Amino acid sequence: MRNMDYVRLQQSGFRSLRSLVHFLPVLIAVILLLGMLQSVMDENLYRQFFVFSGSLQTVSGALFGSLLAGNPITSYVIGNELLLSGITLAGVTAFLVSWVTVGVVQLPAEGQSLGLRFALIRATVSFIFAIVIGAIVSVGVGLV
Amino acid sequence: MKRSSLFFFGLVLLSQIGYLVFAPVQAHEALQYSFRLGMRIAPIFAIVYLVMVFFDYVVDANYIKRHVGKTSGLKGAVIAAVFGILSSGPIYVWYPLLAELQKKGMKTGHIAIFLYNRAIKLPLLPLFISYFGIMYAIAVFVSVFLASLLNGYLVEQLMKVKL
Repeated sequence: MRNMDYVRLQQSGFRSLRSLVHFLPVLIAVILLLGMLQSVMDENLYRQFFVFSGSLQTVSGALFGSLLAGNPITSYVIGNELLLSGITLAGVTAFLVSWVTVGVVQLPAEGQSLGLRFALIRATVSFIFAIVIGAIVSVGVGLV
Repeated sequence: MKRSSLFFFGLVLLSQIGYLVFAPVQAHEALQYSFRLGMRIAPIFAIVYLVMVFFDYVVDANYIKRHVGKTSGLKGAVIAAVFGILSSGPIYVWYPLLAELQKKGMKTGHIAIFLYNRAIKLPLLPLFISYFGIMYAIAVFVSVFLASLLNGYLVEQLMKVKL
């Protein structure tokens, strides 16, 4: 029994390792892409992205957050800067939510593992939800 | 390995080489960032591997189907949401595990719920509150949690639509 369990465990180990090895090229590509993205982004670019005013900033925020990726702490820092520079709460909320829920950069990786159709549908629905949450939260917080 | 994955990898690699040729200083910064990011996620990747081995060895398809499968309903949705909130690290390290769970019968909508609830980062909550305030934090995270359930439902339904 102990030998059979060890064999099963070994097989589980190999199967899991094989899955990860298949995933590795896409993961490396995503990491390289994030590095390149990080190197071209600066403070002025963040503000320039929000060219629209009022409620359309929610769309800008969702779009901006969708295109970026990385540690959520970075999104908190950028979000705070955007708020201080006059971007609406709705726009910043949409930005914060879309940063972690959409993620265009990791779409290829998601498509490879879970299916491209799933990845695209989920990203689209999440993008729309980021806009909706941005609008709802800003109204709700405004009422409190 | 899918051809599209290799194509994507090749495309990014060529972009990186082009970046090194035309903007070496920025490209060097980019590579340093990528290296640091890779070092940061390596331990999480190792944890994901161990979790994958655990699921493959201990958890069979019937268990997955019963708890987070097509008939698991709201219970399965909440389980997926809770694990999404508890999961750490970048989203892309969890894709291989989710792919295995999907093969074993995890509902597509619940996978979407897991991924959406990763927006709720409990360890970062104090930092979020310090930047934006507690009322805003509560409003955002409650909205994200509720939206995740609807998100999962919509993704599930849209996946069924035949093109």
